[in-house]
Amino acid sequence: MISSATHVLKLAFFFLTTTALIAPTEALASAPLSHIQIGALAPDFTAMGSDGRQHHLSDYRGSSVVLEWTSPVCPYVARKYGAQVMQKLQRYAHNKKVVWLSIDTANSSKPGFLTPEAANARIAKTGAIVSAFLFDTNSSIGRSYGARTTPGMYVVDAQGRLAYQGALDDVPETDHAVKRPYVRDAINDLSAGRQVATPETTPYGCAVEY
Amino acid sequence: MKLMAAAFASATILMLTGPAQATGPVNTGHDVVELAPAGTATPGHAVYVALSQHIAPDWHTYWRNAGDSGEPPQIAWSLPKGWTAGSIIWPVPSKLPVGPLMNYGYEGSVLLPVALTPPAIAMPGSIAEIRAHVSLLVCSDICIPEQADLSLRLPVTARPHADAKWGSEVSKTVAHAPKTAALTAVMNRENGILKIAVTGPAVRSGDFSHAYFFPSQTGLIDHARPQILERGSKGLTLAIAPGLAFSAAHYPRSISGVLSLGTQSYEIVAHEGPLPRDARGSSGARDGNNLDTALSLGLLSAIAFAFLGGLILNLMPCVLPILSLKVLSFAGPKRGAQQIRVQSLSYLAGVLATFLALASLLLAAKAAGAEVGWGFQMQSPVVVAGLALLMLLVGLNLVGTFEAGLLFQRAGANVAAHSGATSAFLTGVLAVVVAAPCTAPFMASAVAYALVQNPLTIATIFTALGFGFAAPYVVFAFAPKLASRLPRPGVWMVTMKTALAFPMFATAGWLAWVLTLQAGTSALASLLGAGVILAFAAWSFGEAQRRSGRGARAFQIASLAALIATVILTMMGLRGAETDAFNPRDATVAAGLPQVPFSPQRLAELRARGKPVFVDFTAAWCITCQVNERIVLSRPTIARAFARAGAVYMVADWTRRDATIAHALAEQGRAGVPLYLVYGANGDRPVVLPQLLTEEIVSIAIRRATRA
Repeated sequence: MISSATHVLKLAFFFLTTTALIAPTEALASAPLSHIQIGALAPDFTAMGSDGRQHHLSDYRGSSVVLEWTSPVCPYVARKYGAQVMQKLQRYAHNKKVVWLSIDTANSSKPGFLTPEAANARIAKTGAIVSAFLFDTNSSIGRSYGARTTPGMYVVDAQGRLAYQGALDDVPETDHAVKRPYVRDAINDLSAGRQVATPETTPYGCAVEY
Repeated sequence: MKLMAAAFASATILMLTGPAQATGPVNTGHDVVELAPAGTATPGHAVYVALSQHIAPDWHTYWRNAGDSGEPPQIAWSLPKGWTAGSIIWPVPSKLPVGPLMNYGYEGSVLLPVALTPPAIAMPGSIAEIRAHVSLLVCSDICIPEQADLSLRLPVTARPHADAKWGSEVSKTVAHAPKTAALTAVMNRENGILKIAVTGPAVRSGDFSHAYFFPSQTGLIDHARPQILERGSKGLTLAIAPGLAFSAAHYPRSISGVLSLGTQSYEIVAHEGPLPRDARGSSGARDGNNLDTALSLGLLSAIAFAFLGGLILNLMPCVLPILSLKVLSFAGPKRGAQQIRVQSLSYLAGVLATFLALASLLLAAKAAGAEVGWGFQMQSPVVVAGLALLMLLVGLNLVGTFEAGLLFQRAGANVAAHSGATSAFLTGVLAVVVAAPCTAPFMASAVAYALVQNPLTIATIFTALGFGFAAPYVVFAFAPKLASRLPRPGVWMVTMKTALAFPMFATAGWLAWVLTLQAGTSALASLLGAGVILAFAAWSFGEAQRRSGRGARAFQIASLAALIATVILTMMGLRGAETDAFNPRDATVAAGLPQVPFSPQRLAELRARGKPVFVDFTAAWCITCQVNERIVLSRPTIARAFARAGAVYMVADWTRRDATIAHALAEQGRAGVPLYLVYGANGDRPVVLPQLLTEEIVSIAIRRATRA
């Protein structure tokens, strides 16, 4: 008896509260970035590529995957492409059957936005060797990976687990010799069936254009 | 004499060599840079030469730790033989948030001084050629690396002469730079949160609401997350989201950086160790994580938010019925503008008095060490029961069981005006008391801000809340044009008045439900009994009003007796209710979701086992919480998402006072519910969900928290 009375009260109360839906949903812009633990399953995503096709991370299960956050307006990215550092690494990955996905997290209001045509032209001009160039215009992939900088690098192993995240190497500039090519080392460790020795570093570069 | 001679000599030399000469400002594209000397060089003594930057509007350069991206300026010096250059003295940077990222740097004009020391054998009268190659990363939406080659002809004199153009500015920058003071800093991690405690004379008292720790290197802290302040008798403690460096096995055992306190700033090095108790304790409640707003709130914007929050409270369903009474009184038998004004001001006074009373209650409770939060008065069953009965009484009055106006009229002389003002004042009081649990997000920010402030600020914030709350009515009363648009009185008013009784009864019903959750069904029985007797008292009173002579007297006595019985029954029924062992689990009706009651130990245990945990901080009297639970959390899709992920649904029910939950809320920088946290399968920090949930938000958060 009492419980059914409580139920009626709840209903009445609920009727009242539905009128209270004035609280503003928090702006997405202030949502904090996530941080994926090494060894955790890398978040799957669906993204449009410059080839006009939809790509899912899960499509590449079985191969190691490199995710490269990139931007056409970032000098750090420009240095690494200008000195062919990035392209050499891409060729190295390609020869090891490692998938390479470049990701641009910039919507059309941002200077780093690329149309598919512009992205393809850029690939042709720089001689980049990528499996796909993906657009993350709603920044959901960037947020789910906690991407902070361009260049920002992630390596996912064949089981879909995150094996490396951080910087491309230990040298933001080009005029110093690279001592620690982190991403190359991670690819080597994975292809040798080892744990990645340095799985996490602090990335350098330009801010991802959220 | 000797001194004078020396001074004369150096003045002569200065005349001969002239003042320091820089190559002039160089525009690197988005930054105008030059070398700015504090004065002349003297043999063997350091002279400060600053890199002066005038950065283009909307562009910025970086501090020594650039934050999540970017790079600090670099200066490569070419100095005469024997000269040495120190490192850059970095003024306290600005926080430059970019979306979800945070950078530390400078906008506008800034000086970066460097101490240059000539050798002791440097010849007074000579000119030192100072050269510097400057590399800057200048950013707005995009970043541009810019460079400049600067030079400076710096005279060497026997005694220092301040530079006419730059001297005072450079010296001021050096003087204001972060200092090393007699401060002891300790760092430690508690539940995955990095805590830095600083004790010493400089941090004992003052306004530290802007306290912020700028770490020297990137990766040490999560720059974008707010830092939560706690204070104690000897100093302060900042709770900070740790950065990448702390997820490694060999995490840093010390952390250095700048503690900025607004006007003062200090270089500190915190070593790992036990955190001193006397650097914490007084409420560090500050809005955490997703509510950056609260942290960056200055007093002025806090006042503005409080005003806005107060304004919005008028729309809350628990306030609306009360306020409809107020509207009725405006529309009532034709009243003079004067009278309406007096009434509206009385209403304002009632609102303000109550807000200030609540503020002093909060302060008193804080001083007594209790963990309280907004809506705390709703945690007392006696208050809830009292409010339920009051709502019932108001409802009965509205349906015409008795006349409240007559009561006042009989009670005193000077009838109309006085009674109007008094009842308006009381309406104000009632409205605020009932409005408090409707924690609108606006208000949560303002209150969270207020809770860590000094008493004067708290009073100011609450006054602003009150003004916002009362504003519509005061404006109404003082704008005769609006008032003249009021519909003419008529029979419709009686109908409307009667109809408005039902929201009152509904509110009473809701409060009765809240009471059941707080104090169990026996308390509900007492309340219902008290309600019936109170209704009888109201009816008898009404009968007495409608009669005269002996009949009236009998009804009056019956009414008084019933009223006394009501009070006794309520008191007896609720005695011991606060210690009732009844478990208020029913506050959440998330169907199909097995619930685990909140406990920090259990949470730690689950997280250690790698289970994703969704923590729902809720309360029966929290409207937003109830809406979320009914519309979102009770959906079968959510239950499925939890089941798939093996996630645990943990409920922290704050319907009744609970120090553990209040403490957990404070740790997240919250003063009230709702708060939704999702702990990842193996992450350190919880994800904070918005106060209004959707199925998508919850299921995505659960999915993301899952390890395969």
